[in-house]
Amino acid sequence: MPENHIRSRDYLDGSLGVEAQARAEAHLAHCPHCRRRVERLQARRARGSGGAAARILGRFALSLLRGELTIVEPLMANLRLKKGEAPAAEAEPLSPLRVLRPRVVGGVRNLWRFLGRFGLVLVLTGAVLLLPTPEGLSAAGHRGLAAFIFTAAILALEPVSLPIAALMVPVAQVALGVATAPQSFETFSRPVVFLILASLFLAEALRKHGLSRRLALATIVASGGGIGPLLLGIMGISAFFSMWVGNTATTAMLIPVALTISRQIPDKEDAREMLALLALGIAYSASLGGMVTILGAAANAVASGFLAEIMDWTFLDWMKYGLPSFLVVFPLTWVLLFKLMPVAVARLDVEPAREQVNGMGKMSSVEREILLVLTVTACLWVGGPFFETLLGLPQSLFSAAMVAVMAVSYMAIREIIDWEDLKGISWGIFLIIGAGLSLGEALSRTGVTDWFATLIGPLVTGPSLLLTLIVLVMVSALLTNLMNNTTIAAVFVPVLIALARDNPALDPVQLVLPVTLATTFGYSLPSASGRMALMASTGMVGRGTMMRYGLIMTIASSLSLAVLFYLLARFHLI
Amino acid sequence: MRVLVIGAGRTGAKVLRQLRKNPAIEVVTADPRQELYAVEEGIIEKVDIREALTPLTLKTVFEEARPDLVLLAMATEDLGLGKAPGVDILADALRDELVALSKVPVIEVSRVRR
Repeated sequence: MPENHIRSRDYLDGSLGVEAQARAEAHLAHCPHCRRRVERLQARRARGSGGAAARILGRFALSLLRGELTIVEPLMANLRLKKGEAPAAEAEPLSPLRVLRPRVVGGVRNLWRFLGRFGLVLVLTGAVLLLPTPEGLSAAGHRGLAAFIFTAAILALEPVSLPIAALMVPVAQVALGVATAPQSFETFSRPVVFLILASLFLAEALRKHGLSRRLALATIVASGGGIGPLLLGIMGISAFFSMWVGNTATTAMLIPVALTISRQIPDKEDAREMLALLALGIAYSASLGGMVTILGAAANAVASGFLAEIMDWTFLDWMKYGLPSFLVVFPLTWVLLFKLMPVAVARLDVEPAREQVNGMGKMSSVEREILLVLTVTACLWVGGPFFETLLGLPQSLFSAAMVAVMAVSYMAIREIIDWEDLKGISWGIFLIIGAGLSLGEALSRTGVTDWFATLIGPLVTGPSLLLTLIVLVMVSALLTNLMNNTTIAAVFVPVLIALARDNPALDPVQLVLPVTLATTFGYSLPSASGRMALMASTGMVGRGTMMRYGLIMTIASSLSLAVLFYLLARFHLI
Repeated sequence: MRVLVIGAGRTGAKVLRQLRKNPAIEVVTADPRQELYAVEEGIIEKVDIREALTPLTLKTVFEEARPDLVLLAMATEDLGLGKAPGVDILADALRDELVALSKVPVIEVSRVRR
């Protein structure tokens, strides 16, 4: 449990409640760290307004970039293991956690800040429009560039929640004259959008019937209790599920299992270490599992949407590169995590997990049926075109999206899931993918991607392929901590495709796949992904820990991914 | 019969009101929060155990409360998990885990439809 220092600004502003103010004063009496911070702030305020304008401007800019400061009462504050400790409610609130999400607009100050963020989006867009048209870009391309800036800014700054921000993208495109309404909305009905939606429906079936818990517990029993195998087992299950269903949903379903494992450790600190190790393992592997399939991540869906426009691109084609990437990065992540985060306990008793599995009884017929449906669905996803030809079926009947929709329909007919279950899924993903594809289309149509490709062409094609791949993958992986993965794919992929088209030595897949897969490696900040936001908000993993291990994992994973794609290209496997 | 009610917010208050109808039922309440609707409304004077029920605290809370039946009456938004994506799924999974781990009957009375 981190020490709960006071928030010096709130203390000096007198914005704490009476009790909290009294507790803060008591804390100050024995905490030199907080005393120093309060004194420093007092001194700064006493110095007056020298440089105040710059400070205010800086703070404003920072607040725009930083997103909402969510004061989270971490789960860990409530997860005390021993009797007699201070009650959670009496503990000081922990430091605010950084979670990028829309703030609730309340009061004039917040309204001003909201408008400030949306205003910044408009200012940036307007500024691009007011600049002279860049050389080599048409007037339509200039407006397309403004549409790109609007989209990147609104998805990064999130003045409203992400799905609604995504809805504004077509509006901006039509307003800027880079698309007609039918053109801007056409991408929202692409098959890949329905593939992702259907995968969320399938996840709901898994969650509803407790299959994920049964499989996770069975894996723990099979691990034998050694920490290494146990971590590998739970990471494997997390990765396996997230290949087919939503990554954040997978993480959320498995965290309670990590809690159950950790509860066996009597020492509080040891249990906390174990929980952090397992929680990070679950989150990282949920991200990595998403590399394997098109439906593993929204960015994959967007990249596949673009690749399908220029070549014959199927579910299996993605797996041909996604699976080897996973097989390289996943073991590396496991080893690094195990080595970097040692735990005091060498072995855990798997008997409680075995009792849980036994207590669940035999797998029900519904659970077996779900497993069967998922297996058949996965087989058809991989071999759909082959079966179509073999059985003389209409073309695309067994395309990935159609297969997914058929699986959902079957489960609904069998009453395994119903419409009420599906109401709660993250429908927003539908809008985010649609907007990402729509932006990419607009950029291609107006010639912006070609212009970008000309600009960065010498940088990408000049150095060796290995260096190019390392740079591209690193940029993508680090950027994904701050920007939505789908946006990164929507912006980068059309440019990379244009680059490859202009350079016969390059294959689009050589560039598109590693850059898209690297968006998985956002591990350092809560804003990187739903998984990391969940880790932060539950308080299971501190921000320092997340940042430290996240950066190491990001760098190691990016390098190995770049080397893998270099070798694939070198040996003409792409 | 001893009934442990987890949560003394709005849902918990409703449950407690109903349980009060039968004086033979011995009620124990648990909630880690400081401001509680059931206390403000005067339904209970204070909570007996200032603790959240999770897989990690299950043993401790049950040792203290010795319940014959547990009623989970705490809405997801009262769990203090913030607003991160997936929190609803996590809260549901946590409840499922508690139901599975507990040796005494646990009944959910506040599962929020997502």
